[in-house]
Amino acid sequence: MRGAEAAFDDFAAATASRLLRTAVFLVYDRHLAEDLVQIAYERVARRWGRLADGDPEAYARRVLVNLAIDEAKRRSRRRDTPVGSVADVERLAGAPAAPGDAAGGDLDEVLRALPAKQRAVVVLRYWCDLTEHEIAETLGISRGTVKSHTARAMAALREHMREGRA
Amino acid sequence: MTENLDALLRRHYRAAAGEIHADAAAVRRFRDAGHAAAHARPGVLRRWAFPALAAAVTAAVLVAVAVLFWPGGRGSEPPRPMAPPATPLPPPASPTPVPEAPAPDRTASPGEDPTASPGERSPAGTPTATPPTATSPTATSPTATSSPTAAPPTARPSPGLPGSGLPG
Repeated sequence: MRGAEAAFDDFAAATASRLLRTAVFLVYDRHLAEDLVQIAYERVARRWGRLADGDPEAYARRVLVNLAIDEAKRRSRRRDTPVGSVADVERLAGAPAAPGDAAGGDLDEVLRALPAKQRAVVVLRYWCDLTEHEIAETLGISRGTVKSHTARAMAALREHMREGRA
Repeated sequence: MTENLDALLRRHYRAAAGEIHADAAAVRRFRDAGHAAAHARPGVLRRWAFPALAAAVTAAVLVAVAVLFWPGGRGSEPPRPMAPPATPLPPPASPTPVPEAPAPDRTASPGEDPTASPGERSPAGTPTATPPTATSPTATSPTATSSPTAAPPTARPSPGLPGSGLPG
C-alpha cells in the first residue's frame, strides 16, 4: 500500500506540470485547469492498481481532455447565467486569464475561439505530439473525425493568418 | 503554408509552456486529492452495499412471486382429448333419432372406400352395434347423398356398400 502511494506520488510529481500545461491549453483558464488536473489525478488514483503497470499519464490525459470538452459544453449552456464571485464571472465571460497570452495573443484568441474538440485535437497534435491514432483513442473518436477536426481547425487558423497579413 | 502553420503552432505551445508550472503547493494538492480518492473507494462500496442488497432481495422476491403465482406457471393441466370420450356410448333407445344426427363422414364422400369404414372407425373396440345404426339410416336417410339411388351398387360392387354386404 505504501509502495503504491509512493509510486503515485512520484507519478504526480513527474507529470503535474505537463498535465497542467495541457489543461491550460485546453481551457485557457489556469484555475479551471488546476481543478481539472486534480479531478484527473483523483480518477487515476482510484484506478492506480490497474494503471500502474500501463500508461497512467495517457489515462490522465484522456480524462483531462474529456473533462475539458464537457466543461466547454457546460459553459456554452450556462453562458447567460453567470453566478459566483467576480473571478468566476470573468472566467465565464472569457476574460483573458491564460498564461499563454504573452506569447502570440492573436493566435491564442483564435485557438480559444475554436470549438472544444477542434482545440483538443490541435493541442494533442501540436503540444502532446500524438499521432492521429493516439488522438483518436484519447478522444474516443475515429481517425476520420480527427482528420476532419484538424482540417477545420487549420482552416480557421489559416483564415486568421490571411486576415492578419491583409 | 501548412508547414508554416505547424511550426507556428509548435513554437507557440513551446513558448507558452515555459510560463506554466505546477508549483509545489499544486503538486501537493494533486497528491492529497489522489490519496483521498483512493482511500474513499472502500467508503463508496460500504455506502452502496445496503442499497445493492435491498435491490437484490426485492428482485428475488419478485421473481419468486412471479414463479409461484403466474397463471399456468405451476404446471399445466393434463391435456384433454379433442375427440369425444372413448367410453362406449349407450345403445340408442331407438334408431329413429340417429338419422337426424349428422351423416357419417363416409356419406359425404361417395368415392371413399367403404370397406375401411366399419372396421377402422372403431379400432378401440367400439360396440359392433354402431355400424348398423350408422349404415342403416344412410340407406333410408332422405338427406344422404350416397343413397342406393345416388350410387348404384352396380357402379361399385364392393362388399362394403350399404345393403350389399353389411349385416343389418
